[in-house]
Amino acid sequence: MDRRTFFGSTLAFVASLLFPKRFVLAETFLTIEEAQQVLWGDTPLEAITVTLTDEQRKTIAKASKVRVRNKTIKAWRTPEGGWFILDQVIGKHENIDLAIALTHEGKVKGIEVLTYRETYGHEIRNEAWRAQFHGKDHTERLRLDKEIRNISGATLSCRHVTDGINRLTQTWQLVLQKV
Amino acid sequence: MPFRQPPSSRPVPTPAAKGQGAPPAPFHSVSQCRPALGTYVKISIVGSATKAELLSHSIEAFEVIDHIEKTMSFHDRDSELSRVNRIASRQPVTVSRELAEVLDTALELSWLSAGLFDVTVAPRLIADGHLPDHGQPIDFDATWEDIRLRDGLVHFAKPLAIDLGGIAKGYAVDRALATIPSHLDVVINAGGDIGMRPWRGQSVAIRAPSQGRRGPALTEVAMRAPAVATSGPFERREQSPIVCAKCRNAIVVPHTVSMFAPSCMLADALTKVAAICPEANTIWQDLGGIALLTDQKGRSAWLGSD
Repeated sequence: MDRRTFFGSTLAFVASLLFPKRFVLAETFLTIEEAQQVLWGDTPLEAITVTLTDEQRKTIAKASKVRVRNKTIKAWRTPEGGWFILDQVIGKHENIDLAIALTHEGKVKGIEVLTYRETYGHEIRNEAWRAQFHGKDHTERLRLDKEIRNISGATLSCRHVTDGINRLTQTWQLVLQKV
Repeated sequence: MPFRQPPSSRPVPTPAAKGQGAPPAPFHSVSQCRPALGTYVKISIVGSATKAELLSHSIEAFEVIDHIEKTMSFHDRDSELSRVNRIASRQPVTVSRELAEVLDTALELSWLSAGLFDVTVAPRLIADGHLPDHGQPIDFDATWEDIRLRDGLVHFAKPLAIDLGGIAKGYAVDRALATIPSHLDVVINAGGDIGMRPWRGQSVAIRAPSQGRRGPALTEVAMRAPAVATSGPFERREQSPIVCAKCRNAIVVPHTVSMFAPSCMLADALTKVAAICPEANTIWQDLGGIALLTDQKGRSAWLGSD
């Protein structure tokens, strides 16, 4: 091995340690409009952007024991004082986009996951394996929806959603109900 | 968030309506995900129906899942299961059809596996922090044989606590799947416990454990049955929620164990049997189960089959 090859391969090795090959699989579910329809039906919604002060973020974090990462809350309000809030919680490594509906009393009415992301070590690129199913009716039909990828593994906890809900109900208590 | 393109641009042949009726409804798909059963539950439905119709089927399926979670939760003090755990050692308790069905299968599996599968291992799981302690007295020597189930009545011969964590999630998937009309294609994935219809020609990716800073590997395999569930790996005893019913200790599961089975309830329960005792293959094979081991590098091997 000459010196250049040696340095080259050493660099590649170090790079592979520093930047391991990973990819993020993002699965999208309902759109914002669909989630609004599911959670609030035909109730009219008024878009409101709420900006939290540093003081408010500190108070919410203290009350919910969850860090408040975003200053801005993207939300919609019903005429009766109910809320539709877009939020993000961190899953195992990546952000998960949620839509949460709170009643006018600050109780959780429903939760929809809009985008679920997870990091994997490598992507499946087994074309030959996939090809064997081409032309089969049902497979073809499900394949039309490219987002459907069924992953089986030990159950992943949704604890972060629970934390996120605690943070948002405290946000309602301290800020939103007075908006 | 981008709108998803409905796949209706591609005409899909559907069975012609009988007589000279209306043309077949265009083809749509809906995927919905909600936190439920302690994990993320994803329901995808594809078929010849409007998007609104598919969505209402999906919502109905989630309602079934919520109902089963409320009935069978160990964590929730107000669930039907918690009520049974509190009083069934003192008097026989009438249980719902759902709870009776799951208990019946659980007890049958305990009998078939000579106690390898046992829903009374809660004390160990409470001690390890996997389950909450509701403060009720529990006899540590109690086993599945102390549960009497007859005509919808449950009675415990000793004070014990039933935990359906190893079977109820699969049951919820089965029940939710059954609510979706049969002409629609559906996949329900409750945090890795998957039931689907149709399943022939479909694939599933098995999530192997993480390797250092790389994310977990995915290995794609063909579905071998309508349902699959995966356990492990649990490399440290204190992390493992799988308890050997014989020695009452949490067990180390070095590989992931995926169980393909005729129902998701069986897949969910039998994956624990295979994790506890990989040699007990006749138990799951007799019930139509097929087990796959996947190691850290994503290499897979069928366990005791063929």
